Amino acid sequence: MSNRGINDMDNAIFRRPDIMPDRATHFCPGCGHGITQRLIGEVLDDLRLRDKAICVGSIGCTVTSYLYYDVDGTEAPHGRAPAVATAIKRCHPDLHPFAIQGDGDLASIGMAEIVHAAARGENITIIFANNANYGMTGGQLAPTTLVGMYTSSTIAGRKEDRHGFPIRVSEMLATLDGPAYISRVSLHNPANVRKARKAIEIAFRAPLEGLGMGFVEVLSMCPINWKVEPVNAPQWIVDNMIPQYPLGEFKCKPEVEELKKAVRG
Amino acid sequence: MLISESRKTSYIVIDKDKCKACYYCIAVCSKNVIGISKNINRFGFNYAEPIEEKAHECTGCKSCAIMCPDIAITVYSSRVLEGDID
Ligand SMILES: Cc1ncc(C[n+]2csc(CCOP(=O)(O)OP(=O)(O)O)c2C)c(N)n1
Ligand code: SF4
Ligand code: SF4
Ligand code: SF4
Repeated sequence: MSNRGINDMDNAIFRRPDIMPDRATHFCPGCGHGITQRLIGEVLDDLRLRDKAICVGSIGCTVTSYLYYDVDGTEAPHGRAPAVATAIKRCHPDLHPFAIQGDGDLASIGMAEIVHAAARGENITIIFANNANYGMTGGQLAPTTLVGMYTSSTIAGRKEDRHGFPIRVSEMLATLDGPAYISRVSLHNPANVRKARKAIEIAFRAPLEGLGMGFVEVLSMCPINWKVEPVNAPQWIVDNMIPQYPLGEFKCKPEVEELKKAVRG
Repeated sequence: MLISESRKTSYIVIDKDKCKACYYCIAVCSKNVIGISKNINRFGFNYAEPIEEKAHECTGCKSCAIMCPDIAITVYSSRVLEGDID
């Protein structure tokens, strides 16, 4: 016999994070939350946080985010996640609470909680999923809804004079001294998902080092409420969201710059 | 056994019952490895699947898996040893 190929060991170079049970999610086709949850799972694995992390559920489509991780979790709907996470961290400084909050949950119902938790410099991780609408309840206007954007409660589009202007949460929080790290990332292509992965890791590392809140705003696909085919949703982010919500870092304490050197990718 | 060559190949496996047919994976694969199945999975989605004739062109870039919101894709890399075997 000659020139026969033998498969040596097959090696998975990309697979489900260990910390995420083999379970289908309840998200719609193409929902960005699935990518965000996986990125957090990768970080929980890499930083070995299985026994330390506490997933704080919010309201909206991320309400049951704790179902997708083998970690302890609790519920703090309607924007209260930063307050509950504060309590967990202060009572159990050895644990690490984190939350995924939607834009209705964080920027509308819970705006007070996030602002004060950020101002206090709580050592917690907040991942803010911005999809420009209230997803779970059927696509109503959120504080992040774009001017002109159709939602089920602005059927002729968002109008400045009637509904006001969208809020840039990351920029606003970056004026505070408490947060250690604030950045805005997007999920519209693999390169940006890799950047999002890196930002999320920093948002975990910084509060773990006691440097203050880690906050990442993720521009996230919600095809069903944007009324676009999932496959066109990433381009929708590029065309509509990024002009209003520019990507980048808005806050990075000098000590966090040091931490970044340890982050791969 | 004489091994004359060792090369890397990559391939993907899609868990069809996790797939929700967003087709992000198809949009980002520069080698057009992935296509739409004419069959449906248990949820009624025409799931994504590797195209048989194209599967060998996979470079293992992981882009498809990175974009998959449902963690339906696993990417493998395997070393193929080529040589004379008695
Ligand atoms: C006090 C109260 N107000 C409103 C609601 C309805 N509600 C459920 S989820 C949600 C917000 C969902 O939007 P968002 O936070 O943007 O998350 P998404 O679903 O888009 O991920 C609201 C308002 C509620 N349950 N309780
Ligand atoms: S409604 Fe939008 S945010 Fe909610 S699961 Fe569906 S796509 Fe995701
Ligand atoms: S990205 Fe995932 S869920 Fe979407 S079509 Fe491909 S395998 Fe299916
Ligand atoms: S790993 Fe890269 S080349 Fe292979 S199927 Fe996925 S996107 Fe295509």
